[in-house]
Amino acid sequence: MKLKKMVALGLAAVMSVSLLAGCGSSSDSDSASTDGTEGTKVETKHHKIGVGLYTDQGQSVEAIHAYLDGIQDVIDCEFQYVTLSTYDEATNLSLVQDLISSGCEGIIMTADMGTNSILAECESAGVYTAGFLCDFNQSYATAHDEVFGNEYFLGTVCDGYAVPTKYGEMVAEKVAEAGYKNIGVLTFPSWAYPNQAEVDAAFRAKLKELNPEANVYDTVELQFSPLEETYLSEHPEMDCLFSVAAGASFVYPILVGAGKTDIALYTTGFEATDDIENFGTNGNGCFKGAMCSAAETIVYPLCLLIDKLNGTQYADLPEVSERVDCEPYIILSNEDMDKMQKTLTCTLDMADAVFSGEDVLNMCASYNSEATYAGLVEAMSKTGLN
Amino acid sequence: MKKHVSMVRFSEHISDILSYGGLVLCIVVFSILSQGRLFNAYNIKILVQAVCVYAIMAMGAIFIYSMGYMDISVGSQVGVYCILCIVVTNKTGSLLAGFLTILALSLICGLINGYVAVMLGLPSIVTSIFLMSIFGGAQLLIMEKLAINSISIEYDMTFFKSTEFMIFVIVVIALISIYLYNYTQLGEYVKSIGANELATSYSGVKTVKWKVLAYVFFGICVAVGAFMLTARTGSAGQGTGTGYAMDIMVALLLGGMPLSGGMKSKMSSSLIGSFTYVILSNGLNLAGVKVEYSYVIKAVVFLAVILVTCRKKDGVLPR
Repeated sequence: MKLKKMVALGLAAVMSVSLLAGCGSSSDSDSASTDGTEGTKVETKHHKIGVGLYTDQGQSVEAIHAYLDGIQDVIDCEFQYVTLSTYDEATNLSLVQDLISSGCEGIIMTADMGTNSILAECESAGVYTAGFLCDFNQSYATAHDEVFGNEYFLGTVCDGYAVPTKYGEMVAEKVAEAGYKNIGVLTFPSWAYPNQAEVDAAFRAKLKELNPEANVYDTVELQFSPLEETYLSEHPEMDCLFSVAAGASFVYPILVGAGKTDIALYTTGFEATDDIENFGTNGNGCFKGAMCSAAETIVYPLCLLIDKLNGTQYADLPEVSERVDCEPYIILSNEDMDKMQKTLTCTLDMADAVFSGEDVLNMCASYNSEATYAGLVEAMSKTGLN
Repeated sequence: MKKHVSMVRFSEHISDILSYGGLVLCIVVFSILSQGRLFNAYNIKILVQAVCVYAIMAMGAIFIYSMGYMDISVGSQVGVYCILCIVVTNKTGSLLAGFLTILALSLICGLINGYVAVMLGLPSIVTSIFLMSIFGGAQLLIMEKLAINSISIEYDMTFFKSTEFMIFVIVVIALISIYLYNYTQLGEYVKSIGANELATSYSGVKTVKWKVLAYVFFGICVAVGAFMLTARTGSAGQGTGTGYAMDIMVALLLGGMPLSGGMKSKMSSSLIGSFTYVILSNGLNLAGVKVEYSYVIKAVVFLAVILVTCRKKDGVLPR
């Protein structure tokens, strides 16, 4: 018995060492390719940037990795990733501390959880932070001065629009156009995502204006868990469902399980799986709408961090850090989906990126004296489908 | 003959050797892979900060695990304690009031976990599931009532989150724990209960009393740990404390704590395990190991330790 245990232990140790060795060699190869930056015309400074993502899986995460891998040699940055928690402050603080300790000079965060303590830590370590795919709504509403007024927080680019009413209205127009009569609305809890309540309100107001006959049920909040199947049996006549809460993961499987894929599903999020195969006139045609933000919007925090680390700043940089919009991918037709399938978010191919590595350098004040903050913000409006 | 005796002695201490060896191995491997960053002043500071909460709660948990029991309600308790500490402190302006509130609550939970389980003849895991559900629900309800995602403390916690204070608290709790565990009847009887509860009871020991006392001391440690967590982050939310029950169990196992408790249980497991667990996570990040690989490596290390430390022939799960 002891022998078996020792053999198992030995095998486990071999597996660990193999994994570590594998990681080590990958790192070596990265650094070797970093040396080959002959194509870069400007003289760049090397920086290490930490990237804290809100999840470690999904199409968006793969797209972010693909994009940063594709530009890292040109912009002379290396990236280290951690997976932040969207609900635990201590985890995020520890992860940010680990990034600082591993030599990251700047940190990009996609979650607003424990931000005050994280900023205090970054301030004491002289490390700058910026946001991405996150509106930092909690901090914006309850700790604006402490976060957005902190010189170590450089600003954030939202996941879509900071004021998201436009998206709700666009979906309402499509729903009215299609003539759906009984519509359900799902959101995550408003205390966690107040913006979703705004989308819901804008959707209802616009739909009432365009089709007063439409019957919109009371909003149901998903507690970060899949839709209860009883919701479908309670509304047997429902012909359309607007899920502001990640419908591809939390709603579509339930519709499939209940044999209700005839319900038109408009949702936020994009997984590049069922939502492509069953979009519009494809497959079962359940998906009628999807929405997500481009991985390339990470350019906003990246440029701000690079400039700060290079000791340069835009002439028109605002005194207080901002949260800015990005133009999201709003997919509401087959044509939209065709365009979506040619984006980096879908193909993971750097050739399909909105901004190349050279574009990023051109957007940095430290590598292009004519670059402006207004130009960087404007670039965020070019990340949509049109 | 001598060779045989020395082999027996070696096998008796193999879990000790592996737990200390695991910590030393982590330090050596990650100091190489992190190119020395493991030992820079900043990293040592954050290691102490990260270890603090785990170590305090793990030292209390030793008393429970020594009996062969476990408490899976810790995470939910920590979440509620952190939120309550902040709410009470913000309302009253007194940090002491906040701390005393959670201390009182933790003592009540200790009594429920220990006394009610015995009185109703329930396995302690059942009462801890009950408490986990109650506290988990309470945590969500409080945060919904507050209508925010995260609540921040309005008291200046600079002193309490300093590394010096954290070390001080770890040392104080360690001294108390070591004394109780090694030099009082409490430590002796919890190990004895873990080894053979029936025999302990037949020998005239009032097992109910010592079980309750063990849970009460654990409750105090959880309250202190929750306070230190609040001091460190300055805020709490609906997910605060998530995963702590599992983290503490993993830390204890990495420290060489036998799952079945008993006479081989040692207080050193809590400190060794907490440091090993934190250095493992910290070192993987410092070495730039990808997230997906780090999960696998942690799992492999955990499995390896379990294979060595589970010594009961009639099963590996705690009672």
